[in-house]
Amino acid sequence: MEVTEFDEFVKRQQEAAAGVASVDWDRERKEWLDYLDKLYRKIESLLDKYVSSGQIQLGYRQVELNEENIGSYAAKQMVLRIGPKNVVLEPIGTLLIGSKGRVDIIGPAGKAQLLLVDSKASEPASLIHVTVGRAGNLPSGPTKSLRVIKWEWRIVTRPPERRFIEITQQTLFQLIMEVANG
Amino acid sequence: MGSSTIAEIAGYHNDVVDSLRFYFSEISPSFGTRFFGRRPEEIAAELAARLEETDLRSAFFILASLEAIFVSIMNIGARKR
Repeated sequence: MEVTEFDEFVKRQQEAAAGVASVDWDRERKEWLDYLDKLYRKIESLLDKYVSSGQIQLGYRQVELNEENIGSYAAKQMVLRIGPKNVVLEPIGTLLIGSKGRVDIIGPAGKAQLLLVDSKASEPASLIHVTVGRAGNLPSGPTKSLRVIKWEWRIVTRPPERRFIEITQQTLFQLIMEVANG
Repeated sequence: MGSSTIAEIAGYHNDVVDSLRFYFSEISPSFGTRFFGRRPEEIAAELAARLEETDLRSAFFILASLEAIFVSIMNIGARKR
């Protein structure tokens, strides 16, 4: 191995460390917890009819999450009790591939995902850009978009399709029935 | 790998391990779509599980190959007697 190659390796690692240090991790955590509250408020409003009539019991539990760079912190977990069945909305974290947050919906019959994604995206593939180098040239690096991303909670359909679906009363009810009933 | 030598089994095992490590790395072209929405810890745990499974499969394959060798030696011995 040449010395210049090692020099470049050391330089890349220093740049990566500087990038990590420049992120305001407290702000990242706060933003994620705010988005989590926003999701819970939306679900509360969509289920309001059933909660206010006592047909569904809605409650919260504190859970501890631990993420690299952010550390350990408390987050709220939503618990829905529908007759004898419990459906739990479990916050997973904010440091994820391509997404700003994830909540798993877990019921006796299965599990589904809610992801905080770019509102303009319809599926994971639409967020991935690949550049190819030709004739021995290295591919150019990713260009940073100047557009401000608007993050929205979406239901993710099961693999291999994995599409993002807006959370509406209809899609939420369908999802709850899937994880609760199969 | 029907009648593989230990060296061939080791070569195959190393190829699978290298392929898995590449597939689960950020330089893999399908990384972004395949692991979308996953935590880095979850991806690392899945890779560890795949590697463990690969180790187990290779170990079973070596044991099966050894067993086949012992059986054939015993058969030859029985015929000579």
